[in-house]
Amino acid sequence: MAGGRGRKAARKTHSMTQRKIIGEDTAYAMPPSSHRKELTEVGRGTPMGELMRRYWHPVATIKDATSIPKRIRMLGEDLVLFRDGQGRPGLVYARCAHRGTTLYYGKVEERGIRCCYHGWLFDVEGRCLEQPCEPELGIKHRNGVRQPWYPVREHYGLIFAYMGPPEKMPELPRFECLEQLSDGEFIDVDDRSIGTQGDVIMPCNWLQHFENVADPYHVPILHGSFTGSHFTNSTTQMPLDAEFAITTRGVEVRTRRPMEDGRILFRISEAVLPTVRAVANPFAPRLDEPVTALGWVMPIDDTHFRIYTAGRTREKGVLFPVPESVRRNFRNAPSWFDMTEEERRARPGDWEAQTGQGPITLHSEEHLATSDVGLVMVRRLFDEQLRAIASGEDPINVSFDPGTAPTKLSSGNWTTYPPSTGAAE
Amino acid sequence: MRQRAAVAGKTAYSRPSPTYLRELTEVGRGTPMGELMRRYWQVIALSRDTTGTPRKIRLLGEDLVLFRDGQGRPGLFHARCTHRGTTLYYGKVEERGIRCCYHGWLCDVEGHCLEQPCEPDSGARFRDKVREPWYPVEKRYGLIFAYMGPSPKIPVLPRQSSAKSRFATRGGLSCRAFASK
Repeated sequence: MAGGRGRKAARKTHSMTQRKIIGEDTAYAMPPSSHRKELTEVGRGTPMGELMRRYWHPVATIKDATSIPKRIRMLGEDLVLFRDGQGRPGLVYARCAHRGTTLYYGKVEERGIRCCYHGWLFDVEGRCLEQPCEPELGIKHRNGVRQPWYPVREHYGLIFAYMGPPEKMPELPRFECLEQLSDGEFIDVDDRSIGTQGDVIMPCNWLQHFENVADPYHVPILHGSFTGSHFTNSTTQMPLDAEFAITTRGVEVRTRRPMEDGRILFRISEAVLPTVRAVANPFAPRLDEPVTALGWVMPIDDTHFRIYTAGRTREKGVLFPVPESVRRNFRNAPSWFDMTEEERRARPGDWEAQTGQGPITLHSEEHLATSDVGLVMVRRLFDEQLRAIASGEDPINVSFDPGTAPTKLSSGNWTTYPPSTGAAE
Repeated sequence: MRQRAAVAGKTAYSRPSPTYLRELTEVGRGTPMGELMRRYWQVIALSRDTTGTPRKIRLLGEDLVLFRDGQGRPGLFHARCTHRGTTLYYGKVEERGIRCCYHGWLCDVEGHCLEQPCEPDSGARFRDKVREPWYPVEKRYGLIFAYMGPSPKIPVLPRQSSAKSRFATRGGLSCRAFASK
């Protein structure tokens, strides 16, 4: 009897895992998740899509417009870019107005693009010039059809398109930092998405990147302490302080950090609505001059974006030179493309952090803190623009006056803060 | 002499649209079978695969991250960081938990936020108010089990007595009986 009880007791001890008490809710209790559609989705007819369609956006570099049609996807629309025999760039809806096959298979001629299927010829503004299977080349009816087209302009080495209501078409935006060149400087462009630290087309929502511009606090962690400095040591330290302000053109972030020579680096970055990132070179700061390059975040659709960059340089093809020592320290590889999935997991950068938020981040799950004030300002400023256009007003950063002076930005690496150029009243 | 082909009965043309038993097969959150599955401890990994390198786990339609902290405790989280939502797969495992790559929030294996390095005093004022969504895990038989159901309904982790397991592995009467039928 005693032995039996002993054996039983021993077994009991062995199985004595207690019923686990969970005092608080686990992940089971999470409410359903959602994202803020009005801030992120850019298709036709959406609130943010309508706001985006009030601005000129780069959709390609000047060199991309050739006699070979190029597919362009922008704001969820499939388009075709070409340059006719007279040198004029054209951007048209991809589907031919006749029977809908794609003009990507078209042939570019002196006067426009000819559809492969029945040979209709359209000029860069969509006018139908020939319908070769119709009597007299369609002379009776061809003026009644027009290939859907968008206006384009060439500027700063980029092709800008305006996809909004014609009566709201603003002047092409100009920036002083890209117009005042020093001796030997010229404007160069880059289409490899400088700033994503990864592949050219990023498979996540554009706002995840754009609001990151107003988030200086990810720098000392993701780009600093997590796996070692991605930039120079002075730019990846925890800032001594940070100031955030909504300006007349966007959100401005000012940070101060000690430099290795004992001076203080005063660094200003700006998120200029709707998509311009004015971020000074974090690698080899040229001190006390305006930001050298601007990046335009191009929302391809709700879950993809890329970045076109234009900047002042003295060396062709080099807008943001990355020192070899920094490159080794950051990636331990010549480039992101040379890394394995495991190496990317172990050494994450902006690519991993931003795509890691998912195709469109789930705003309902966020817990924003005081250090997130910059991106809260970006979202608030967008909310204001959505309300403005809904009530018939024009949004921020549009001008209809051809005489408007180029926008002067504060962004740069400075040894003291410059006077503010756009404090909101 | 063309005859109208006589088709006895119906052809495949007239078959009804097929269906499946959703309530028996679908296991996402809030589904009937999903709720049933969430009343049990589920095996999610081998214990030896649970290490200082975060591991992606997908179970019952949920994306999770599994790791083992520096004190040897396994932890299972909703993959998205509770701060700004990037995946903790890119996180760094430390003595006390896992640290997100983006802004460095550190959470222990039960999701308590221990550090918010970009906040004043490392978030001393507010970090207790956030909790990374987590699930309880237990190690047994070299396996990691997780419980993904409602907290008040957490059952005892089921055990197999060693005697019973031996009986089962000996290949058992029931199998032979079934085979000889």
